[in-house]
Amino acid sequence: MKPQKTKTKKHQKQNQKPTEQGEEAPSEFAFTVTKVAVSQICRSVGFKAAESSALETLTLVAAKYLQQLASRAGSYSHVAHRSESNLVDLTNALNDVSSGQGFPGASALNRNCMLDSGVLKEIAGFVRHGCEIPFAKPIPRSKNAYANSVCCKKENDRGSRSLHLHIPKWLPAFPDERSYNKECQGPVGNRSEKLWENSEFPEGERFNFGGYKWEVLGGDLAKEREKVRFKIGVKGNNGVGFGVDLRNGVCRGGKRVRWNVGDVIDDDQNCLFKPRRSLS
Amino acid sequence: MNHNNNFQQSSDGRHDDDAALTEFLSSLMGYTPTIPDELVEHYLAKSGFQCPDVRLNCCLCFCRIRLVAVATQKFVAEVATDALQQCKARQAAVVKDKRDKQQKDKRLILTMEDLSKALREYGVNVKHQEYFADNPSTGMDPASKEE
Repeated sequence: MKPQKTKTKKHQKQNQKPTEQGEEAPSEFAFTVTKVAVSQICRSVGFKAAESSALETLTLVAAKYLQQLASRAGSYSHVAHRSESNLVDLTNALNDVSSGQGFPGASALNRNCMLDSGVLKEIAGFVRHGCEIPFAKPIPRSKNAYANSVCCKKENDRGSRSLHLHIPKWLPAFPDERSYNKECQGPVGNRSEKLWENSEFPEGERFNFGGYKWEVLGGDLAKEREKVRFKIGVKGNNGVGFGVDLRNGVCRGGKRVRWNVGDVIDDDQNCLFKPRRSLS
Repeated sequence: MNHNNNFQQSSDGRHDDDAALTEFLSSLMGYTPTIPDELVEHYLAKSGFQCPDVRLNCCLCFCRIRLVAVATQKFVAEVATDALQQCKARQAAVVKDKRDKQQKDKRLILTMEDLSKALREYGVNVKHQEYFADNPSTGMDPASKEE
């Protein structure tokens, strides 16, 4: 059994790469996390061990199932002119996905209430009778998600999001209402006559755009980008090359400039080489 | 929960079902699926499923994410159970005199062979290269191989 396992593992690594190649690092991380979850489920079912190729296949299928479910629910919501999917969309998607195997009540789907589906009942039974196996380790949330959460939290705190539900959430929020609404400016106009202790709002907050910070404004579109690194100059050793390290000089940025003498000064090349030849 | 409105709109005869569903949705909050919420969120966002932030609209959004997680867990568990049955059936089918030889191999291992048979019922056709060492019957004579 042992040699067979290693053999399949090797081949699987080679086979797996092309499918994952076009995707970035996060999805590889997601794949690994899914693999752990799937192996936990396999263990709970009764398996003692697994071939790595089989485990990876099952993981891929599980990820595809999840994505299929999500995209179907999303498309149902889009058909209904909504951007956010709700439970009915999800139930429809579940019905679609499990229609291959069939489920009780599949023939009368449109007659009954959407949420009265047989698939949901089966899942309810699974939740009731299946044992609970939590994931092995807590997963840290990504930085981006944290920024989003901060953004949404701020909005929620100000209560502006509840007023303007029609505005897409990736747009920056409105400035403070007192800065453009004249009715709200009443107390602000009289502010100079009041004592600052009695004023309703602290002074600094007025131009603060609802407590936002600049970094947070990116919302959903903000994405961490890779660092770009490049070098100026020729790395090869053919020809005579000069390297000038400007780190200590004028350019503090640490740029390194190199050029080929042979390309630039033809006449000087002879001068450089002749004395050497005479020496040898 | 907002879904209570939906439930109230439905006819009176289905009150029991509705109550059961409400109970199920609320029980999802207490259930921890094996597939973590963060992973489900990642896949949902990747495939265009928009959902408000989990920590904001906790009740509604949690329900959806948990429902997706539980559905996927159920699917994987079903496939794995089928593969386990295939594995057990294969091991039980071995002829008795050979069974002693393979006794040490009689562990429950998820193999590609069982998995592809199990997945075929779900509409997934898995083809994989058959290695010489993969199949225990590869070296045997054709007559016994047929069985």
